[in-house]
Amino acid sequence: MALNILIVDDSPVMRTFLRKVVQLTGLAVGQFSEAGDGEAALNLLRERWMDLVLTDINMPRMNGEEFVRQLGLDNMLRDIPVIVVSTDASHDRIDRMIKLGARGYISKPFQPETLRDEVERILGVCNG
Amino acid sequence: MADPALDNLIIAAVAEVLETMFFTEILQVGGSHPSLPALGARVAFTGHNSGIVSIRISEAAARSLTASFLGESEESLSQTQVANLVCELANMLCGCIVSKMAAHGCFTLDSPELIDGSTQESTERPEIRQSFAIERGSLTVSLNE
Repeated sequence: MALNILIVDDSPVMRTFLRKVVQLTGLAVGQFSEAGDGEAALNLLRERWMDLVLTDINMPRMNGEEFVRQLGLDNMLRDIPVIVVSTDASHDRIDRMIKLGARGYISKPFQPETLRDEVERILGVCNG
Repeated sequence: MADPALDNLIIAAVAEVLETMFFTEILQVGGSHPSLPALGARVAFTGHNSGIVSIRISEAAARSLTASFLGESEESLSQTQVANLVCELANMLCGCIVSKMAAHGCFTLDSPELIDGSTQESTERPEIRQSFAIERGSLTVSLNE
């Protein structure tokens, strides 16, 4: 199964890095899409189905916390798995994001294998 | 250094970020401020502790890290990509340092902003400042609480 993945981060170099890390993991990816904040990501998700979302937390306009909350309120989008990729490694933040509906949480810095393992755990696939 | 524990925390954070995200390492702890030309960025954080983490890095070192991070040749990089990388490096270092300072309790990071990398001293007097020799130059990390 080729995955359609949305990367949400206000840092262009981080979006590029995440795309390359996903490619390195050997996961079969159909299409990558990118958004610079939660609002842009929501608009994109309402037009195009994604199998997985990787999102940062600290972003302008709509941050990752509000983005995940909005996803949970939308019947059409609430089942899309979300992995948070953030510099914030505090236990409280991780708990909050998981309670809001995030399925996984990766703290930066991270090894590429960590991302692959988390994607496989969440999607239940051995891709690639 | 005013606080050896914070000093060690910064060293640990820099080592972790460089090794994990950039596949490089600290060559030497200590040394001089980045030589010119240099780039800088800072990130403010609020929460259990509040303050600013700022970095200054030799342009050549920043370019080398950007190439490593993006898997591209240095010649193909734009100034914007290198500047974005310096901001992201400041962001990761700030998150790593603050997470180590307070594993419990949420904090919020502002968006990174570029600063004048040629300035030898910040306008505020930092409580902690540590310089590192890294590949192709040096990196200085300052923490104001």
